[in-house]
Amino acid sequence: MEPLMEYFQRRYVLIADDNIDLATSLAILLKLVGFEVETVNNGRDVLTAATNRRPDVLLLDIGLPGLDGYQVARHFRNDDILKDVFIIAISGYSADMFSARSTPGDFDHYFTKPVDFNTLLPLLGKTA
Amino acid sequence: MNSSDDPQDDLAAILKDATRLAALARTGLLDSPAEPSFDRLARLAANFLGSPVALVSLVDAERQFFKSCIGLPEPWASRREAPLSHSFCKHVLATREPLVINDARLHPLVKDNPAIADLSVIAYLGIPLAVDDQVIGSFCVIDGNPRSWTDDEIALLRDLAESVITEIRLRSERDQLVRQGEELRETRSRLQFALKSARMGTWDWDLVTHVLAASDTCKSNHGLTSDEPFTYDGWAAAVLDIDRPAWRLAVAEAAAGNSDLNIEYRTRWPDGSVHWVCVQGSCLRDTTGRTVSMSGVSFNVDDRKQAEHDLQMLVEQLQEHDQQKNDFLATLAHELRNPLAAISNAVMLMSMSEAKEHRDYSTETIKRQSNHLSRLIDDLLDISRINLGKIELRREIIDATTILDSAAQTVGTLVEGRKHTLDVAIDRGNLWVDADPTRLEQVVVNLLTNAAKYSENGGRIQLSANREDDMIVIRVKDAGIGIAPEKLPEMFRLFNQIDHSSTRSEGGLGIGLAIVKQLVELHEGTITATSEGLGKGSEFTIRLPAATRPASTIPVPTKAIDVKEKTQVLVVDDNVDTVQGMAILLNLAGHEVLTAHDGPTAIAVARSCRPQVILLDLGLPGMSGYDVARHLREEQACKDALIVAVSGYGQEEDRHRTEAAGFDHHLVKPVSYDELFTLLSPTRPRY
Repeated sequence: MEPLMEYFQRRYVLIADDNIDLATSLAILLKLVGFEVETVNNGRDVLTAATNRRPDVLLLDIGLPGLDGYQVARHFRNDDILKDVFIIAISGYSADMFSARSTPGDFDHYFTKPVDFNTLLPLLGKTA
Repeated sequence: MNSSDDPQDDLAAILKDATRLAALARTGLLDSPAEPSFDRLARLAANFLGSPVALVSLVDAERQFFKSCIGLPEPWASRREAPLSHSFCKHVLATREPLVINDARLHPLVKDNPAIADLSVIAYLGIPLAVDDQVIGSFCVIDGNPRSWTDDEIALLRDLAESVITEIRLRSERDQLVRQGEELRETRSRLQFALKSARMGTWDWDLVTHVLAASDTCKSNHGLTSDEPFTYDGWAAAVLDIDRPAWRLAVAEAAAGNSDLNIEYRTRWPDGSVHWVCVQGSCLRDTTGRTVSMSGVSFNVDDRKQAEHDLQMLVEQLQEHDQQKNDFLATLAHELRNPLAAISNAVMLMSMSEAKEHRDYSTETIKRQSNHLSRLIDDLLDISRINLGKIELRREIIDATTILDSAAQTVGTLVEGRKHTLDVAIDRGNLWVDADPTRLEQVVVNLLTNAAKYSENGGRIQLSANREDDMIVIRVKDAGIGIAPEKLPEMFRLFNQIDHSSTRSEGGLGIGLAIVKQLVELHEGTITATSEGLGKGSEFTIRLPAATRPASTIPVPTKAIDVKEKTQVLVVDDNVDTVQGMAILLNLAGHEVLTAHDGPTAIAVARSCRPQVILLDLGLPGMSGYDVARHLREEQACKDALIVAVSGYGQEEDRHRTEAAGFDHHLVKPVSYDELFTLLSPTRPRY
């Protein structure tokens, strides 16, 4: 685990999900492997948090209250500072529905819940 | 030539020839009475040729029939027929030529004919009578003395025979005309009947004079009475504005002869009602090909249009239901994946970290999210039970105060988590209702949960209850996001929340309020929702019939059974993980645990160890839990053991079944450990 932790050190992941248990547990897991993590539970707070500190990776639930995941991603892509953030969509809906409704280029990756941590980690590694 | 050289053989065949007999029958002359027209011609022939006898003789298969017989002696004259044995006439059938006999006694064809003696036929002159190319008989004159027939005489009889044939033809044509007339009358009356029963009108439009003639039904199709005129302009005016351009185009195309007319349009009747009419017609042309008139039918198609409309509505409704179903399934998947994701994260965390805080956190998360999953499944089952009308209330006269307190407590964590304040203002002790406490609490919890979910953090939620006349009124009010006025009527509809135009903001299946409404209505109550609009909060009001407060509340005695603090428990389940999990927990709680994975083993263990409590899965392979329970009750050793059914099914009828099989209690999977430990405590309840 140690080299891995160094590898992820100081990389900042922002998790946005209105299921607090889900966001928190994922945050603990990512902290365990060395990430710096913050969680938010609605769309507006994503923008605030990201403006305060630019995340390297955004794990973004689609069905967020306030602004939904599609809108949040659009904001990021239109923002000079946030436009290159690696955005991973995470949703309980099927991949079909996601690809039908999302704008190409807004998201870098898509996962259907529950996300296998062992699949997520290598992807986060690639963003380093 | 014919197949035979003997003319007699040919004759026999010709006499019986079906085509010839049919042509004869068609004349309609056989066995018909004498007629002056035929008698006149026969008399003329007799007079001109100076013969005592003249006959119009028709030869069928067995006899010759005399349509006319002048000068024939009795009894033949009255009989008007003679057998073929006496027939001279039959011989013209074979030859199709005049038969000229000067002296029959010398003629090879007839010299042995009995008519010579019986009817004194000596001289004979016969002309074949042919109709439709078939010889049906002969026109003949007969003399009792030998004659020498001259060519002039033969020619004269030939001419007269032509007149007889003309007479026959005229007659058959007249018959045919009469028949056709009858058929026409019959067809017309059948058509009238059809038009009448189909309520079909007819119309006829002269394209030269522009006169339009319409039947009464056609007029009534357009809202006119039979004495009102029906003109082209009147017709156009009767057609609804919206349909008139199409109608004009179709009529013009048909009048030009380009196509048949076939159009449906709406008409407005003088009473203002609108009716559908279908009109079909086609053109008649003159010899130059110009269209001169158009005629056709009209009929009312209101019923069909209504049926089409109903069908269309039904199709749309079905499509909508289908869409709702698909949306619901997508939502369901979404709702199941969220807790599943949280649980799998927690499991992952437990496998990665030994730290106590991580263990505790994971355990809490799994517990919470498992509860959430159970609630989702409960909701799903409730909806299916509601759809099937299978919800059973366990009603009792109860003060709703306890129910409301309990509901407020249930949502406590959520309310605190969102930093809301919950004001409870209830008229304690005066809220007696006849209700199922569990179901009523479910209703109130649902409304309070909604209020908490749909309010910004730090909101104010009010729960109030009091008696108003004969009703107990419970209100849940919040200052949250509110409800758009157009959404208010749909609030209690199934799947109301599912809206594809936006992503979902709050979790849930969108069935909670539908369940709430059904439950309230099962209690003979009503529920209403009001909101000033979006962002202005909302209020839900439940009204239940008030019940009379009972004279005194009798405490329900519980049957106390002496169970030692430390209990020996036998856990029976074919799922090894389930057994192991239960065993660990029961051990932790200080109980002694025995295990079995099938019925026969369970019975053997029970027999030898005599456990006080048996937790028995119903769905065991082979020998079911019911069988095991029955068996154990019969065994002397386990007669007093507490046998608890553990089942995935928890409905009323399932509980009745286990009770009947001898179980003491019924637990539903996943087993609530609070409930289980209560059961194992000395003051546990029983059925």
